[in-house]
Amino acid sequence: MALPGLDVTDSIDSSTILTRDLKPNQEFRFEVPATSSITIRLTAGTAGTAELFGTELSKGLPYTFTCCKSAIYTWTGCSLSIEGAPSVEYIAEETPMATYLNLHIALEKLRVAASDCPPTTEGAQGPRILLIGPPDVGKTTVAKILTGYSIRQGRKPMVINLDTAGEGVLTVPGTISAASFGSVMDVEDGFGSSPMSAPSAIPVKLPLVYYYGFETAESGSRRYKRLISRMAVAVNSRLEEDIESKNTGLIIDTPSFDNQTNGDVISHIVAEFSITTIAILGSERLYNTMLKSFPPSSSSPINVIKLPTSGGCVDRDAPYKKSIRDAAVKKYFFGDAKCTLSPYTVSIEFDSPTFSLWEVVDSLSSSAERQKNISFLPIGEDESSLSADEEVVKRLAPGDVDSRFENMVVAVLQVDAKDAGAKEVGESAVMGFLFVQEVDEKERRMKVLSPVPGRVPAKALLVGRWPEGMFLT
Amino acid sequence: MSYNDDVPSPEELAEDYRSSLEDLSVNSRWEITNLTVIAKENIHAAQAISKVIEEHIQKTSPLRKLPALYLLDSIAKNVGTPYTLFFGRNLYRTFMDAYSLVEGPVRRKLEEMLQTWKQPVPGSTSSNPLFPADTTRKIDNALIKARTAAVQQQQKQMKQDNARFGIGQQSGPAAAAAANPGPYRSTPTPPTNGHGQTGPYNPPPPQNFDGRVEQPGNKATPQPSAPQDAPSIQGAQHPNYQQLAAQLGLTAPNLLANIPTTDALLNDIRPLISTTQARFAENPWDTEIQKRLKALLDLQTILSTQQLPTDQLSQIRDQLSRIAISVHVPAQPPAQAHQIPTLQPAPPPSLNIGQGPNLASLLSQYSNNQAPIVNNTRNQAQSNITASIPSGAKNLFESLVSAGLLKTNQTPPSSSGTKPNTPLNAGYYQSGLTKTPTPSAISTTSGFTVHWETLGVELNSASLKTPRPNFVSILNESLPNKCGSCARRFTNNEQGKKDKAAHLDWHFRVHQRIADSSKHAQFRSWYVGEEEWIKFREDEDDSNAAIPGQSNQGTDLDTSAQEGSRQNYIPAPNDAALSNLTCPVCKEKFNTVWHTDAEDWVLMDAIQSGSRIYHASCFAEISKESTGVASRGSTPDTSISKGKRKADQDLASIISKIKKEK
Repeated sequence: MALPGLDVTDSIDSSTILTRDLKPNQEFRFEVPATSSITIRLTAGTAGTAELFGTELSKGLPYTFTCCKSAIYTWTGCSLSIEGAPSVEYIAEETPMATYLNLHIALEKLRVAASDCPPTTEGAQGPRILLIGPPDVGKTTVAKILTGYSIRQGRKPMVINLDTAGEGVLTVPGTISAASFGSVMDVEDGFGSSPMSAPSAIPVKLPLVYYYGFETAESGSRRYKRLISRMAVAVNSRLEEDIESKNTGLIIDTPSFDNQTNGDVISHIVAEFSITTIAILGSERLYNTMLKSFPPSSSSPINVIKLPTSGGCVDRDAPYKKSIRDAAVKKYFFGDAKCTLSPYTVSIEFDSPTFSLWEVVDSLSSSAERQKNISFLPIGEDESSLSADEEVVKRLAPGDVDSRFENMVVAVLQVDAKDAGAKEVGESAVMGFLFVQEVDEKERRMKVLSPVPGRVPAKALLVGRWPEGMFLT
Repeated sequence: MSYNDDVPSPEELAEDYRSSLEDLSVNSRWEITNLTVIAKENIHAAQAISKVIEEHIQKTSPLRKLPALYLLDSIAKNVGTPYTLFFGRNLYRTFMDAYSLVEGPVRRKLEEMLQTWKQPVPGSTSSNPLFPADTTRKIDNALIKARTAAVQQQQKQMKQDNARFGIGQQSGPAAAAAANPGPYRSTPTPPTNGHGQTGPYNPPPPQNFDGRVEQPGNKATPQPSAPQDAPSIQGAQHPNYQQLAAQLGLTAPNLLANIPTTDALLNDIRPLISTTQARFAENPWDTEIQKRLKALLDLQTILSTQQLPTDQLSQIRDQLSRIAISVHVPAQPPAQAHQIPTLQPAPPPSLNIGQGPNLASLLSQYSNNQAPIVNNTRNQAQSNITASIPSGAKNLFESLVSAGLLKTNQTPPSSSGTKPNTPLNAGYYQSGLTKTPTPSAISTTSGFTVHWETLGVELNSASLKTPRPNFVSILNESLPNKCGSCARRFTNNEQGKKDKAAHLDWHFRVHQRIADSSKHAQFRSWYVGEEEWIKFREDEDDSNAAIPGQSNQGTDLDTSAQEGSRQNYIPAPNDAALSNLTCPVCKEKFNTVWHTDAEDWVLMDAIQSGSRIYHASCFAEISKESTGVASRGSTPDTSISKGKRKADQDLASIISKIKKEK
């Protein structure tokens, strides 16, 4: 039967298809602006394999990319066909992939050793690696590669994202999250997606999420550390029960730690997660600082290693990062091209007994205030004892809710509205996020976008300063 | 399909046909042929069927529009009248509605199809085109206009590229639309529409083209400027959609500052036409040139016969300058190659989602052929051995040694000279041959044997720097058996094959569920709390779907699900026409409620049998009656109970779907 268009498609498309043949150990780097998209296929007949940040491409399947700066690497040589016009594309010959692979194998060696220990012993604990470095050196990329490689070998890594400034892992920006990766990652979509009502061709991952609400670790460093401690408890408990995850260990991505002021946060992470390896990217100085802080001679030695930065790392300018963050929030509510989600508009009454809205407190500004009072303290009562009582979140009276919260993200916490105190709210995990569309001060209610149909659960709500306001729709 | 039942009424036929159309999700020759045959056999119901098809094309999701239009084409070509008459009436609208909502590649296919409609049907005796020329010309004109606008849009975008981000933050799409004087229509994004209502936004609302005539840019030519609608559904997801919309609004005034005259444009066109004609004479088969020539000629006609608004004139001018460049610089790809991608800033959905029944065969094909390619022969040998000795890794290891296959791990020639590898390999052999491998020496997760303790890589910066190409095979061949669809890997042994088979089944099921899910509104689930998360196991995605207690989350849900199925409810139909559905027995409406466990709108106390929905109690009554009477019409009792079981199964699949995606 004559079905039109079936036989002519290829000849039409071929006008826009580029073919790139990669030799072994080469990398095809490309950038796609937000305004267009490209489709890449690993040519079906090619002999080689290819991977995008550690996750393998399937032969012949189309992968679509938009608004990204990415790279496809091949160990074996391969042929790619690219449909559409990337704004930048070139083939790179020098990559640090060999080093990353060495790192993976070294970690894998430790995992094998851990698997052989009885599950309850200390030895069964797999390697726990912390990735630190200045901005735009590829920390998240290395985390992704290590995750992809260990999944490829049948492992189940626990991936922890502590970077609140970036786009978030499986959730929105401004959060820290942990998730076990027991199935392949999505080539097109970073770390993938959290559960939805819709089925997904790439298995979703279930994250444990805490909302921090600031861009940098300094702004609320006390709460940041408390959330990390809280998460570490949950992660460690889970690893104790899940031997596969325990043997595989942790892969931890961090915000940009590039100077001395973050030293105590780093030590805190290292202590809470019992880090065994610290990998520093892109900063010799930080590397040496870490060597001094964690000397090899100490009782429980920590491997401090230096990793080369890929030449493909590019400085991402602020508008680009902002657009990536906005896209992450949008994806949370509306899904992506593969699966469209329909969020619901819900109204929240300020006078409802279950209304409990909290705001994060900027410790930098509040400590400045405290400076004024500090001279009245008795000698010996230092800042730390004082700050123990300092609240990291404060409750907002209905009258305090105004339009400055419009277009912001609000976290729905796991803690119930009725028994929420500052301590619970400060440390609670997150159930999900709302997006404030409109605050009606007169009517004392606000209109929010809720991901799940029905009433917003009677939980405490927490609003932060980050991610900054955006236009979602 | 019940089309060969004894002469059903056109309405019933149409209803049947409608439900069959629902299943037409991919471009499947079999399904389209089948539906064409049905249409042919029921030519007395042609009017009803063509109406159903038109409605389906209009309502179905953009991903499914192409197969539906192919069906229309197939019926028109294979059956002919009266279908061509019925389709011809609304052809413009049917085609343009679909065209405005689909992705670039699909558009090209639609354009191809449109070309064939202007020809007589191949092999037929008539020399008339399939559809009347004035119908297709109308569509052609609309497309040309659309393309012009698209190029314009692209140019604006390029101009604004640097300023893009700053502008986008300030104004939403609504503001942009208000400021926009041209024919651009900032389509309200479907999710926005979805805010206030509980239903899904699929299918997209029909476009009211007539309404657009009033827009200033469209006065002269009432055809819709379809491709501005291109970003509609997909574009809504796009992070920079609003920026884009803002640009359109903000740049439009600039254009008005520099107004070309009709005469000047006509002067510009003339040389272009002659050049293009010359090139067409050289390459008569080049469809791009052909199209361009036609576009130019049409444009000339329009310009000389009509008075166009100034913004359209400047669009035309820009378009002309583009064409001029591509005409005079033959090396440059034809202008149209650029246009199409810009119509759709959103990524086209990956094709594998829509593969339908082909998926299974595709998958199995992959599973057969896709052993890692680098060392194909070696794997072959290895898998043979693995198959014959499925016992522990130890046996395997020994057999590998005796077969001389342990070289697998050895350094490929390229790096055999590098220093660190030599001791490594020596140690590797020794440990392999002399001592009985302890579990710690061998990775027992797979048939591929790696002596981890002998690998000379340490966690220090110096050791990590040394390239070790042999590690690549450890990475890729520990689990050599790759899923062709998602690159998930499995071992080559019996267990691995079983796992992979289950995994492929899982792909198939998910694919089906994805097809089903497009009918319902979907949403992001809440995250779990710490305690649940600690207990949660990201279970094998391919473990048997319906098994209860797959995770701790499942336990509660499972019992309630079973109770739920006893309670008899079915997912509420999404079709608006069905929302006022009544039970055929008692003629009362159904109770539509939000079911928290199923996480979907459901009809309570309802079951489905065939295409009809009954109250469970009413249905029990009539099926009791029909057991007494041997059969009721053409539906014997057994099939009723089957239908009931099916309803239960559907429910179970919903529940398991929800669970599994968690």
